[in-house]
Amino acid sequence: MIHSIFILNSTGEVIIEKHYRGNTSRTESGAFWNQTAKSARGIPIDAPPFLPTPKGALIHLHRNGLFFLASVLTDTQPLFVTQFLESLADVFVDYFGELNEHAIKDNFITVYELLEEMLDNGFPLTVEPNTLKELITPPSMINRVFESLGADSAKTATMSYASPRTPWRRADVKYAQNEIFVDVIETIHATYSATRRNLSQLLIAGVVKVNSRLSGNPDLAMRIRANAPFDDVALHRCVRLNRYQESGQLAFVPPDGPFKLMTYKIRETNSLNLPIDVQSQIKFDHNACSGSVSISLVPRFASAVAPSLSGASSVPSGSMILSQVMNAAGGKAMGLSEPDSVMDHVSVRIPFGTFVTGCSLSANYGTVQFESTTGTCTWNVGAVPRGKTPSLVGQITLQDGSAAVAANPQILVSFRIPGYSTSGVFVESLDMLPPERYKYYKGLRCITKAGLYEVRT
Amino acid sequence: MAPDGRMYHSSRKGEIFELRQGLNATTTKERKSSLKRTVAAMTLGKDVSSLFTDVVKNTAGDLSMKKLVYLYIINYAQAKSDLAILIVNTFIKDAVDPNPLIRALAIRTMALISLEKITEYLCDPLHAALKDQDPYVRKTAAVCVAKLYDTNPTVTVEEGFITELQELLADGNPMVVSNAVAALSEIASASNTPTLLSLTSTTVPRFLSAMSECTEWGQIFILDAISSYTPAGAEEADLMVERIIPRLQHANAAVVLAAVRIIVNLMPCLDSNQKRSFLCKKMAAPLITLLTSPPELQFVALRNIGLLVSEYPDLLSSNVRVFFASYADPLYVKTEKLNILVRLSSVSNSNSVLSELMEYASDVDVIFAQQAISCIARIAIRLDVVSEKCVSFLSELLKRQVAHITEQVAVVLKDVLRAYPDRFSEIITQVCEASEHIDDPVAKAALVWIIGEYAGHLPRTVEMLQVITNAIDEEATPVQLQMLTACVKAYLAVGPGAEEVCAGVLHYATHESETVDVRDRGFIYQRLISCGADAIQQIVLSNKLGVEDITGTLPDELQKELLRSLSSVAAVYHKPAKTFAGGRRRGPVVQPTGDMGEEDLLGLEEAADEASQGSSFPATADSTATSSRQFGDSLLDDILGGVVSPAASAPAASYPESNLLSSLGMASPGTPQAATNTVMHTQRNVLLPAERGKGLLITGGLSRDGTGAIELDLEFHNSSSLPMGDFAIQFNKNLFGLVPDAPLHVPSPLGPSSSYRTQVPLRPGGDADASKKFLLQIAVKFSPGGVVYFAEDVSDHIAAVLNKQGGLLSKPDYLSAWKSVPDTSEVRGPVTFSDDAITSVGWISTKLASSGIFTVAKRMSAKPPVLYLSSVAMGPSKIVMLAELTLPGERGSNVGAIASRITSDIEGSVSALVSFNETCSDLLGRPS
Repeated sequence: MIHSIFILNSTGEVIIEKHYRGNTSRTESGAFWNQTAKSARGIPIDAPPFLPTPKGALIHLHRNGLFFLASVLTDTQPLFVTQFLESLADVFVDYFGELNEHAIKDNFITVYELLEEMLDNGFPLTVEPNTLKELITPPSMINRVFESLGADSAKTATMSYASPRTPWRRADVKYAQNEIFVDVIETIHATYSATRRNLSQLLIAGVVKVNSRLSGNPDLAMRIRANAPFDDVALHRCVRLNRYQESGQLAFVPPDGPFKLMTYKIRETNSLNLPIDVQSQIKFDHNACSGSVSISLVPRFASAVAPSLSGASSVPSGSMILSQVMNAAGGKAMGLSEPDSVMDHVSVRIPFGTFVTGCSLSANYGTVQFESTTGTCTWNVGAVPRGKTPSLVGQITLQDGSAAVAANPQILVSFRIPGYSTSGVFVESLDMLPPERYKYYKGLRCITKAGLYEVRT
Repeated sequence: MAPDGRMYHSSRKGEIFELRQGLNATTTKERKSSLKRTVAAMTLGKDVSSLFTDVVKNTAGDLSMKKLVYLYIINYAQAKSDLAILIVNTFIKDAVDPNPLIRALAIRTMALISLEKITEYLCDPLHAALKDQDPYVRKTAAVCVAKLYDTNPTVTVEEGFITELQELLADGNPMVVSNAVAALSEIASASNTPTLLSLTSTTVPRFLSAMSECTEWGQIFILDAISSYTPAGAEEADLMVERIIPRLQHANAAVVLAAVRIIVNLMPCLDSNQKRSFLCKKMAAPLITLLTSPPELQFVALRNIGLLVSEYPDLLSSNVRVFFASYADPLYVKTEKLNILVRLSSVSNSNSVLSELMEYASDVDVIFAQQAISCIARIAIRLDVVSEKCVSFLSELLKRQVAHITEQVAVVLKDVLRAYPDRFSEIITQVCEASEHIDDPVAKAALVWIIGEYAGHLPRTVEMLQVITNAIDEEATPVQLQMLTACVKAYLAVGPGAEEVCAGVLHYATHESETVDVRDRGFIYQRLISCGADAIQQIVLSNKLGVEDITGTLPDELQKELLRSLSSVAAVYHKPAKTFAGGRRRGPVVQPTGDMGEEDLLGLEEAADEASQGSSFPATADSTATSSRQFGDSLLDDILGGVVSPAASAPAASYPESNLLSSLGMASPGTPQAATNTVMHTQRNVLLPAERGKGLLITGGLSRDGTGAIELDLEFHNSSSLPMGDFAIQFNKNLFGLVPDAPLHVPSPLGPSSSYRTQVPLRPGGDADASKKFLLQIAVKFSPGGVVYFAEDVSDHIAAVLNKQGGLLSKPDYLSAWKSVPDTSEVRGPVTFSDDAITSVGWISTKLASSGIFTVAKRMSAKPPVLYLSSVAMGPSKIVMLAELTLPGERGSNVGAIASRITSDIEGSVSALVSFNETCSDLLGRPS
């Protein structure tokens, strides 16, 4: 049970506070700030998410420079608290489009309304974003216009669930155009050694996000597969677990609007290839107080097994239009990924450490920045045309006498490859079961993102 | 269209005035914007309570305005309680609104205002809401009952809300069920009546089936509530597990962990190992998945996984790679990962673990790199077989010649060498050669220790020591201490060659050093040396205790308890819940800090505050703890060369121990002074009426004489017409193990109508039996009557059986004992203080101590001052009585209060406490 919630900005100022049980004084948040300031290195982000207080504990979550701080006075489940703070942050993003001090301050009334609605007496009340939106109208432009005109807000919230069997779906959903979008987002976490060609960790975390805009009470059945078996699957509660366990089929009545249908992990990585190979050479010349750097990003996803959608042919239903949405960035839709996919949002970070005082590095794509306070070099590559290999070469200068501490840095790479799936995941089929019968549009796409993609040199 | 953020900055003069105008404006738009600004001002901490009446007028607006008004009312109702009553009507009206949202909002807001006047009006709408047709209202109402219980438990019970809440458990809507479960379990824990939420073989399956349709949060509550349920047999456990397994696949980490907790607790109930290993496999994947969540969640998961793997080492042993740290992990996550890596390390996975640790050792982050290095050493200590490989890695690290790496290797190498004294001679030479890179005092002390320990095997010990000790006066104390030890060891190992350096260091220690520790140790060595070579060799070069890797290992019992409370705060702290959680009177453990005259013991928060901040959370300090602790050990070992035998240490100390203690004035404050010469008189009550005693009337009771011996004061009166004789006495087994210390002496014959009074001395030491409660059952045999039985209730004379010596509890014991007793069984009473007692707290302590009631701590800063008392009853049952004695509060008053508790639930405990309180009052009320 949560007793109080505070939201602090990056300087420790309390922007929002809400007490559910009695009044936890602000000294608590002050204590939090002092404690974190005292923590290992004075960086609040480095403070353990858990601080004992005389009466209980403070649990915090750090997101976009904001600290979500919850105070609990009884022996609660901390994961429940953290998870709640997580969903709180997610709801804010959902409502305000962004999460930062400004967004919170500009919408503080909505924030309080949300805090009031999401947590009652310290117990979560309504957390599902779709249901919440029924109760509290997001601060959209339209609503502001209404408000400034002095009119009542767009609609008076009422609640009606479709049926007690599907409490996540509201009743009487009607769309002029029925459509459903399925996005498979795979995040690849990899740690490997460039010199020893030794992969120490590889994990693919996938999320299947669905945005359902279907009328009535549609009952859907979906099959999803990948080249490697899914290791750990977590499903939205609308999915019938028994059916999934028996046949691997996802059968569900979707909530209206966007939701996370399923998350999966793939660890069986023998059959998988890394989409980008980082080749690097970093050498220090201790005598000359300098070093040479050469890094290139070789796209390998071309050679990966192209995932395929066993498309319209295998789906017998004649009533549907199978379509694929092309990605705005020019990527191919899922299932038609070709060897020459494009990667974008590419950036490389090399935290050398403070012993590196300067660098002169040049790249064939993007820009290079060096921050001398932390000794970190950032290479913003941006989008890379197909078939090209971005590379970075140049010299770095070391601090005098620092040769002894010079250690090879890790290279942190982030990228996005639209229309490509590392695990070759594909949606085998997506059908609507009777009784609902109408034509609808299906959009499927896939994207691979780098999570913690780090290379040891 | 201005964003609300602007409102954070308005602080013009006359703001209140403007707001008031706005709130009374004619257009809704203006009123609403003023309302927003008012609430904004309120959140900024400005006092806008003067607008109360103006704000309240706006309750008639739309839902969002209503919400703002209610937000305002909740904040200021307490301060404006007389005005708050004005809005009750609005609430009552809203509670029957056709819109369920408004109905629920009205109930919620009313329950939040903890004013008795409002509570009165809450009852009727709440009854209605609990039976509302809309599930949203019902589930809100369920939580309101818990809220109401918080502010007004009596009303909640009297109005039958608890019963209505229990009825909701069978509601058709799973969300309502889960909220009812949550509310009931909260009330149950607040009122200490776990039976409120009945967990039986019929209700638990019902909750479980409701759970599958609940929201994730509802699932957490239900899982949490049933975690205390133990199924009757393997079959039931099987069914429960079957129901819970699907929860492992939930996307919400808290659901997963709550499910894991129940499954782990059900494991012992299962009947086959096959099922257990199946469950382990089932749990592994979701646990690993938790490690891909954000760092804050990961941290909690890791702390719990740490507990799990120490109980079920096989659970994740094949997945050791998932604990490999990533660059982006915050340090606290990395530290936890390292700890688990060490715990999971085995011969089969050591290759990959060690090479991964080697990667970390060259990390840019110095703290992390050093932690990784100490992990290599910990693995060496844990796994004999791979120790060689670990040491070769350490040697490789030394070759890098990076200062912080070399230093850390020296520190951890010391532990490895202590574990395996006779291996790895090569690396010793290597680390000695790297000595120029070592500046850090801890590392240097470790290096010097190594040199001293292996003085006999190293080629150039003496030169090395000479170089190192050259600037001994510039070193930190721990290094100086190690230098002393090392030189003495070298002197013993190498012989005369090292005499010079040894003498030099000893001279520095005994003549020049200003540090007491260094001087003392210098003197100890000097005297040892003068005792002759044999003696010192025996002491300094004796075998040392081996070391073990104990980081993160918890005592068995704690481990079990934490595993039961897996996923709770306790499990994350690795501390039992009772040491930190709880409401009033359950403050954190105050760490005993020596003998402080005044100390706050019981949840009196101000002082506790600092103490608990001091006892910082061991997250980041964890892995360094071993090395420093072992380091401390090695210092202790070293001063006298290892296992300190009492025989060896006695001559070294210059004065006998008792003198030492008394000269330092360390006699404990509570030790009984010479017993004052008071006899505790007992009332003469009839123990055995003549009708039952076959003409023998016995009066008397338990008492204590001036020397503190217990006796049974008995007066025999022959009310029959025949003379009596041959008296004998026997005791039944009793709680305190009291037996007669001497035979009963009554002159026979005892003529009719004559009396004889005698004392039977008693001693504790017989067999004890708790089944007779506080009764002392006595049998008296005489002729011609035969055997008669009577009983003395000791609880009325509890002062007689208090242990006069061992009753002083240590502060932590006192605290834990105090907390183990529920608040409800506390007995309170008034205490009259004599003039002596009021003026001198010392007098109180002395007086009480003379009767076996000891003062554990005083809290003089409190107004009025408070004393914490303890005493222990005789006999093996060791019943402990604790009391909080509050001195008279006001000047001129002589009545204070006492609140006492007893660690026994035997019937009669309450009257024992009453008698205890009376004894205290009696003692303190009489002038000396």
